[in-house]
Amino acid sequence: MNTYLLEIGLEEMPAQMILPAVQQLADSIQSTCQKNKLSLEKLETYSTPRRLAVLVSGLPDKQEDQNLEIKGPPLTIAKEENGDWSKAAQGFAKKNQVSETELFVQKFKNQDFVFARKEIQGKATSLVFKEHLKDWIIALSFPRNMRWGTYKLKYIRPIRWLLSLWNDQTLPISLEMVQSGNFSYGHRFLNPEPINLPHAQQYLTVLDSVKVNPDFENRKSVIVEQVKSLENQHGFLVTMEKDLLNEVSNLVEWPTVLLGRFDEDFLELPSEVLVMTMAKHQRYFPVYDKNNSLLPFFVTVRNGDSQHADLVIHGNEKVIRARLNDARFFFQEDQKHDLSFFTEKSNQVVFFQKRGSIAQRMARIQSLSLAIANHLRLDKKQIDTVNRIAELCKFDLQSQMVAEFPALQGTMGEHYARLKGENEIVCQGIREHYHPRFAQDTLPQHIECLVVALADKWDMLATAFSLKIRPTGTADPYALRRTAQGIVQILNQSKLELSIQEWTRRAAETLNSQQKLNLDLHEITTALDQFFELRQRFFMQEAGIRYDVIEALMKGKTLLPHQQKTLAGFVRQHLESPAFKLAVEAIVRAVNISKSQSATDLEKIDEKALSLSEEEELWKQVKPLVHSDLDLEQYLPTLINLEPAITAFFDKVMVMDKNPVKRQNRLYICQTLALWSSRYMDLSSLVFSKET
Amino acid sequence: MNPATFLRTIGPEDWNVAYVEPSRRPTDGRYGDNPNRLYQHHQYQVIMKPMPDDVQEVYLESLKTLGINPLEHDIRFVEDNWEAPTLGAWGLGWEVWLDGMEVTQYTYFQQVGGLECSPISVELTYGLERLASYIQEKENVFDLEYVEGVSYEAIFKQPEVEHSKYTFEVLDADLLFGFFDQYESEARRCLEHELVFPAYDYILKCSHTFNQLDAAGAISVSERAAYLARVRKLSHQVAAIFLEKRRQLGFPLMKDQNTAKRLVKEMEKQL
Repeated sequence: MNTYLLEIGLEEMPAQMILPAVQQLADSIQSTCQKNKLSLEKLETYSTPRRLAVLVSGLPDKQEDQNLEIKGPPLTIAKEENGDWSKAAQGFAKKNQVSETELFVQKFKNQDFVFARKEIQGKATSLVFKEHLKDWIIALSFPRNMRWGTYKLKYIRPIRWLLSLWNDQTLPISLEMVQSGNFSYGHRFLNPEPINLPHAQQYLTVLDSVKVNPDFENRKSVIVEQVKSLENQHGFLVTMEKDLLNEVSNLVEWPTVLLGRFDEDFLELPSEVLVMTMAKHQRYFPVYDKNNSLLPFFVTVRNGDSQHADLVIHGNEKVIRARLNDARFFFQEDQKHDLSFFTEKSNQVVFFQKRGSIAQRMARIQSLSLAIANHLRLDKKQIDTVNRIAELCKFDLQSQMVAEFPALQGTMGEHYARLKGENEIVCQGIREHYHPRFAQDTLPQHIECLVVALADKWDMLATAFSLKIRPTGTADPYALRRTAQGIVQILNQSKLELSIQEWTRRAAETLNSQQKLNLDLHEITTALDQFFELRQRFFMQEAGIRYDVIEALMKGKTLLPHQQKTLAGFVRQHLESPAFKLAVEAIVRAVNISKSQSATDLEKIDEKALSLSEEEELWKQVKPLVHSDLDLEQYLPTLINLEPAITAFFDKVMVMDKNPVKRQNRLYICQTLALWSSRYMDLSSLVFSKET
Repeated sequence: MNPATFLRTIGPEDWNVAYVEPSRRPTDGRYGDNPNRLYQHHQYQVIMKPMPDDVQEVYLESLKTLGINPLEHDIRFVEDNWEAPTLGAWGLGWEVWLDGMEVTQYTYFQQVGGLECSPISVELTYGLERLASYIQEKENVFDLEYVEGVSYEAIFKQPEVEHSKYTFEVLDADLLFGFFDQYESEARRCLEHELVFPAYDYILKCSHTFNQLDAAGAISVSERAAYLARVRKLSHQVAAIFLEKRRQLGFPLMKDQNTAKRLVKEMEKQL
């Protein structure tokens, strides 16, 4: 059995692209083996920032030989009268590269045919590989490619060496910038010279000897182990966020974990600022005590061994000190001002051209928030809080700290507002009005914050749509999909009685009158309604609601998002029941008949003219529905209870009677049913499987 | 961006330069109060075209020359791609970390002035204040010793304070918007006369004026894109004219004059 090793040596690749790249390489090799009927025992992938490697073991020497019998022309045309092979038979032999003596006759479906016997010798595996090596390398695709030097190839980063070993032999590959060899390189600084590989199987041992650990998972566990021993030694906790740990593991070839510290005074900064500085800017892990309070330490992972660790720690401490000094500078500068200083400043910052300043945007959010709060009948105190949140919600955008760390918008607002003695709900509201920021995110906790969160999002959408800014394909630079999704999420989970169409219109009107724009409000709200409809459909799909049920609910149009979701839950319980199916079919019949008549003909019923018992019975049951309140829980039971009366009605009663009064009455009953039912959903959209 | 970088990385001619470049970033102005943030800092910029294959090793040797032994430190190449939207220029590369501090921006130029680079240049920009603060063990940039017996503060504090005050408090936005328009039209006039270097000077003035207005908060999000596009358009034009004029001159800076002649002909056919 044989082993093959391919290592592509590169200048440092971006951390997050390494694992997908090496997987692609492995997939290509695997698929070549499959296509060429080559078995393999094991395929291992290895990678570091400077190398992508695949080690394939248990490879056969060659493909299996094949004995083929190839069918040729029928005997009738394969032989001359004298028994010699005809031109046709000779041609067949030539085409298949066999001599005429290897031709023979055999029956195929009761007819004689000429056949050729041919033995195909399996190709040497190394030869098959040799033919594909270059493609494996070149076919790798990356999110972003570059060229280098004078070469044509576009690749993730410059290729610097190729190691290609069939057992102990170099398998040649030639690219425009490099030829393959039987050597690799060790750690950039600890072992910079080329290192010879006697055999492919010795990859791990050889690399280990030159301070390279090419096994990602193993490298990661080395880091985790070293961090754990620091934790045990010092009795603190190091938080290793998954993405950061993966990134750090892909930034080093030979990890050594080091502990550094910073001045305790910096702990006066909000913890979010400290963590952001450490994790995002420096790729450090933050350190906590048992009570989950930050400690003045950080953990960094060096690419190298422990020699001169003190110097490296010293350097890192200097950097974090400079960074935290920066942050403290911003924090102190920001606190020199009252909150009104920042809101004042918002007057000078344009939100969108012709859509006013950030301050004007806040004014719109404020007026929408108050309108929503009043609509929801919040009490005086709550309304005051809503007002204050709306007034302050974007002030921190003008702070130096948020200019430096945009991801801390809202968070800094909360801190600064608290330092200035704002009430607790207001402080939280400033941070939470951005929520939910993604599908699984939490909603704002308090009703006051929810109201502002909604107003903020509605104003953003109305503004963008008024400027004809819409998401296209994957491009959604203002995150409008997420914004609309946020509204749908809030309305679903909070069950607030707010109609999307209504408040979309109010948001557009608020913008229009504040900026004196003369907008085509109808166009904007129509586009937004469609946009929201897609988001709601998406939301329901994600909740696992069946496609036809979504369709039925969306065509209904009158239910609020959370009502749709509740009703979808009830429908799910009934979808398989035969009684429900019958009921839906009965109602759909009534809906279809009433659709065929224009509404103006159908204004009232003449109860005295009801003559048949079936129509009287049905009317008795339908009449209470005419002005009934929306009752989600009773909708489906009522539907099912109505079914016998509707079925009897259609069995026994001729709706389109010649007598206009009778006809009018019967249509009226159908229409009442249809109107009642469609307030909930469009039943005709439901799809039943035939068996039920 | 220095014309020795922007213009000379366009086209096939050989080009190897290094110089100290004062780099102005109006948004980073902090009145000289911040220990690390400056309106104007200094970069040692290196361009090599074509880039040598062992450029990373050459770069690391340069750090050794500065007294930084890689075995005593943690040196990392961390992905950081570079883009200058006003100049239609971008490249891929890294920020080089020295014990967690970014000391160099290292870029393989892919496009300049909207033109595909061929061959590819490497640009190394050493952050001089950062390196100096490392070597001199200083926390605050103003505590650096500029040359023996002369502090950084004695020279640069005043301009930092003044530029910051000007940008954030005094600057007359309407006037600068007017300047921008004038520089733009003068750049265009230069381009009509195919005067590449004067045109590029005016493009730089446009770019700096834009940066000042941007720092002063006078440009809205949506206007921003439009201003960027105006400067970019000029950059694309000046790049194309520069390349054509060099072709007409027969690419005199190419070491390999046979290739130069071939390229001149090939490009002529494409015109």
